[in-house]
Amino acid sequence: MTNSRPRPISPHLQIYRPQLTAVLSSLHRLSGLFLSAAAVGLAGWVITLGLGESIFASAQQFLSSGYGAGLIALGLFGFFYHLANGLRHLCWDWGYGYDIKNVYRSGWMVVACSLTAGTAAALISL
Amino acid sequence: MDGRCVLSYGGDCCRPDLALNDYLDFDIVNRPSREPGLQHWRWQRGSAIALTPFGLWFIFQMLLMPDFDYQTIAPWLATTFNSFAMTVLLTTLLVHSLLGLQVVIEDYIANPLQRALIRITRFIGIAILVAAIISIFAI
Repeated sequence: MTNSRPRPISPHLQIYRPQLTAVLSSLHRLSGLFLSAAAVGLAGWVITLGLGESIFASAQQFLSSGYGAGLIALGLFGFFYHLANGLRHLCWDWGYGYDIKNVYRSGWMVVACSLTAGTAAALISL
Repeated sequence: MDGRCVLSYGGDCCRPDLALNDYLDFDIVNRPSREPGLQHWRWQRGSAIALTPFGLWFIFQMLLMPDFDYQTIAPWLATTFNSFAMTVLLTTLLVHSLLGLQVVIEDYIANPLQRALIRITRFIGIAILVAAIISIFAI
């Protein structure tokens, strides 16, 4: 069997140049996973409020520590990204912006909006 | 439950040998549906739309909060509007989150673990939500 020229193989993720569309899509899922964990944290925060003053105070002590502030900042970026990209998805669902040019345009808009809103909110939260 | 047959994704006939509960193709309120994918889609979009105002409301409230001690937060949550809005927020958050987690589990984990994990996440999620709602109204 002569194999002078290697046969083409299917494009594996490792050799695929990252494209905005694919990166934003994975980020949507990743931020969704993180926000699910954050939702559990939010529910836990509300539960400590019901459990009484001292338990709420220790929860609040963690949230005001460096780790807590970092998680909150990450959650804010995740929230604004997931929100912006989710609105982009809703536009697609209603049939708007489904051509390549507009997919890229709305993609960069999502990046700009979520970075701006995330940075502003994270700075205020500190 | 009216005992209607539930279609699975691939076939066009129901499986009378399986109890209704053996299908995970339910919408979130456990109603058997002829169009499970469509119900999933509708609940996901519906909860997404609801989460937009309620999520933004919560984040703005927190960013504007002057202090985070119990004496500030407890009375804030105890008002009628805030406790109602917080309940709606946590509930839609749970619906949206469980639907999303279900898709992720379906994508990466094979049966039978897949079905078990989807049920476990639903059970844990609902338990946490109930505890949180009780806490809101216990304040």
